[in-house]
Amino acid sequence: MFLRFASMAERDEFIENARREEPQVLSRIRVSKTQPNVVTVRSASPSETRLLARMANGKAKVYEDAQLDTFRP
Amino acid sequence: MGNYFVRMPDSGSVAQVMGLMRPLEPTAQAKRAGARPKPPRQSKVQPTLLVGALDDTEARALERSGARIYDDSEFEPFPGSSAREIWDSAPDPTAPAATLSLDDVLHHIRAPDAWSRSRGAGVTVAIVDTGICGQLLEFPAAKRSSIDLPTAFAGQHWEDTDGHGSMCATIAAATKADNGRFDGVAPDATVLSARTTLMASDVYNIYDELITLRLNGAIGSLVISNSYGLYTCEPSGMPQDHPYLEIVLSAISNGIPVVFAAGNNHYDVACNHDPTECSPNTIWAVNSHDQVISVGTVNADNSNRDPATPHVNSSRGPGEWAVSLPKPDCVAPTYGEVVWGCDYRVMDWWGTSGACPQVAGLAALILAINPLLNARQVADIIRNSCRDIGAPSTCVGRGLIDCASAVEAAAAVA
Repeated sequence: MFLRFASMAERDEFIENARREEPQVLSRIRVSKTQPNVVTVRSASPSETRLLARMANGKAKVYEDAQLDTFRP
Repeated sequence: MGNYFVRMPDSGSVAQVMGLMRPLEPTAQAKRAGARPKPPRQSKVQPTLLVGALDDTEARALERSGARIYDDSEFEPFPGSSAREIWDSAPDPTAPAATLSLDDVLHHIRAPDAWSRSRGAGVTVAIVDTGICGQLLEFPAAKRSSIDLPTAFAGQHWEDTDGHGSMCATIAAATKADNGRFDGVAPDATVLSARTTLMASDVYNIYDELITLRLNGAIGSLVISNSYGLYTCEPSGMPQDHPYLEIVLSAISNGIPVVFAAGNNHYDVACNHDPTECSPNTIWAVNSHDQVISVGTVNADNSNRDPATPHVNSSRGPGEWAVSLPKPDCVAPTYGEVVWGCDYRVMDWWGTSGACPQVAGLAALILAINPLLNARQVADIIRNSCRDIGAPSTCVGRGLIDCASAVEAAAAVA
């Protein structure tokens, strides 16, 4: 999943909440280097996605991850 | 004694080998139908390819001296077609499909004609895919980027349990320099393996790392090749403010040409549209954006509307998100033998997956000769140098890529 925050402060608050309430997710959270208001969460299950979206407390726009596939022969 | 196809390493000893060959023996079935032995033959369009009878000892001796030997095969006509029609559609009447390979595809797009001016040196091609087999001779250590991206497959980028990524990397930038079987379009380019889970979040992180490395100078000129996307027959539903698109556009605005496969959606792989038609649209989401270069594929006859070949699956434009630059931008041919994983495989087509890295390799040739070009300029040169192949643009875009013309145009830009 992706979360885009309006400010760095809101992003940091989200990460702090995740550290406190869902520490098992922390290792899969990554802050973008080139777009630091964007956070990705690898392998988020649907229930995790809902939980983390709630944790963002309306301060982030949440995007679902997408499964892509190779255009193989 | 048997019938063989012999591809000589050069033209020097062609006459000597022709003298050694005996007449081609027809099959038992053909004999019963009245066929008689035919004299050995040298291909007119591939002068180092010879066809004739040899005994096994002679064939092995030639192989040891550097020739490539192919057993003859007896083909059956496809249902609904006559054998004559199939041979008429082949690029060389003396060459069965098994003797065609990436080498022929490179000649088809005039890559060797471009190599006197540019071979891609100094440019890195990032292959965002299933990884690359680390045992392939086509990728000697000196050719590999030392960068190990800290993404989902950190430490495992030079492994490929699937096979697809190794194919794409070979097509873009393999080299024969260290006894590899194939050169790619840009044989002197550096290859960066960006193995991915193919989740958009992992692809996002790969782009994020690549852009950072480009901006801090750890990578110079860079091209990103992407042979994946969405298999769907309806609009993708992906919002256009999705961070995945945003990061791809960020790469482009930072001077990195980004090349995508158009997709394999048109016919029986996915959407079952009329294979002879160039509509409806089946290029979706990021792969269809104006700023990316979106690549379709054609067969040896430059067609993706011939139901006899799987190229009819090449996705049709104008592209879900395209506004001013309809998709596909161009096409590249795919057929014959190529790398798959750690091995080699003969395939009727390579999907649009195999077309995309040809254009990524071409972008590397262009940047090697003129590193100051931005991504938009590189894309314009590729589009404007295409050869018109007389098909609607929603099937083939501006036409077949032409490496020699594109490199010449790049050199001419001040």
